[in-house]
Amino acid sequence: MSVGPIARLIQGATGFNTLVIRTVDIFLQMSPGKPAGDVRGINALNFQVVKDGAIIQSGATRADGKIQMRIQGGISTLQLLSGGIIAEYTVSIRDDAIEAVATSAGQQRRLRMLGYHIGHTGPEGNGVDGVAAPSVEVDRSLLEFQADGAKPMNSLADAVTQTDLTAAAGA
Amino acid sequence: MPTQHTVQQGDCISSIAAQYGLPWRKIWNDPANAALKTTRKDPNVLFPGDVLTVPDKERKEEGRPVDSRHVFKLKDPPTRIKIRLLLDDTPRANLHYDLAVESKTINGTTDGDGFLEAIIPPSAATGVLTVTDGPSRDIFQLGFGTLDPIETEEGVRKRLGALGFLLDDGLDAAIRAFQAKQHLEVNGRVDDALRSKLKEKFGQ
Repeated sequence: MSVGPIARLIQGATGFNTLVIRTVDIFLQMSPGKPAGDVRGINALNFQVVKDGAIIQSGATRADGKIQMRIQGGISTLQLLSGGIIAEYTVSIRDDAIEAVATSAGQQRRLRMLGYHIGHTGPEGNGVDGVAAPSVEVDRSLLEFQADGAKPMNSLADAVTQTDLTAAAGA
Repeated sequence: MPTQHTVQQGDCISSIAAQYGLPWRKIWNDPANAALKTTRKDPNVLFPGDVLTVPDKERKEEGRPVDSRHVFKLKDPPTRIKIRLLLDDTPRANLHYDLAVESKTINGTTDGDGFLEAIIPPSAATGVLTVTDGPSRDIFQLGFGTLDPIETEEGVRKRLGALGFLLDDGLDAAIRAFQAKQHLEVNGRVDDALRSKLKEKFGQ
């Protein structure tokens, strides 16, 4: 359990203690790709955020599927509700930059962030393996991503696609 | 001669008590303040303009031998906490909070800069702070007196955690993340630059 360290202050002491809640924007969508208006968003889905067994946030998604999720101590759990808990995600904050978009791992990471299925290879079991030769899944995901953006479909992570990936993933 | 003290913004019973060198109960329970006691009920909630009668100090003679050490303890050490709440980098201004300490709940509103101050029983070790922010309720478990000195690794760790940095990947990773965010040299080490920035951001 994370406990906020709070000093007892003697009279006249000017110190204070800061407690920060950090937020991340999460889009819950019906199909992969960049959040685009209300088209893909899952509207009005109830959710709650749990930290150490206590509910620290509850609410419902907006029309575009967005949740501004609250994270305490760098890591919290998002639960989607419909009757009971229908899905659960552990979300942690990474302050380091993600892999460069010019690398295979960087392209895979962004495709994955945007919801495309790229298989289960790699150390995290999410398809981000950094292998240069694209797998069938990565190949198809690139095609779908290019189609979603109405761009030439060549399934190559060329300069245009890299720029689009960066813009769509927001990083 | 008792003194009449007009309450100013920012005054509280324990700050007034400290100013006059008296235990706060001595002032609060003085018969001359009976009327105010009835209206305000809670000595932590005095309004600017309220007039308190501060009784005279009683002189206490203590005979002690010379050339030895004597410890005089304050009868009623007030314990105060001051917390700043941020959502990402934004102060959480004017939000309602409830602070459950022992069997009591203190409530109030954060000020314009996201600060809250509370007087807690000196014996209290833990508390639960609930902040209501629109549809969200944020719950913080508080440990009073658990802030370790910045010179210790635990002191660094606790401050980073309170500032929202992830410690699950190790202290080194959390330090790097903090250094990057604060535009310090990213070396993953606890050095003077890190300590001073951490103190500034955490507040102590």
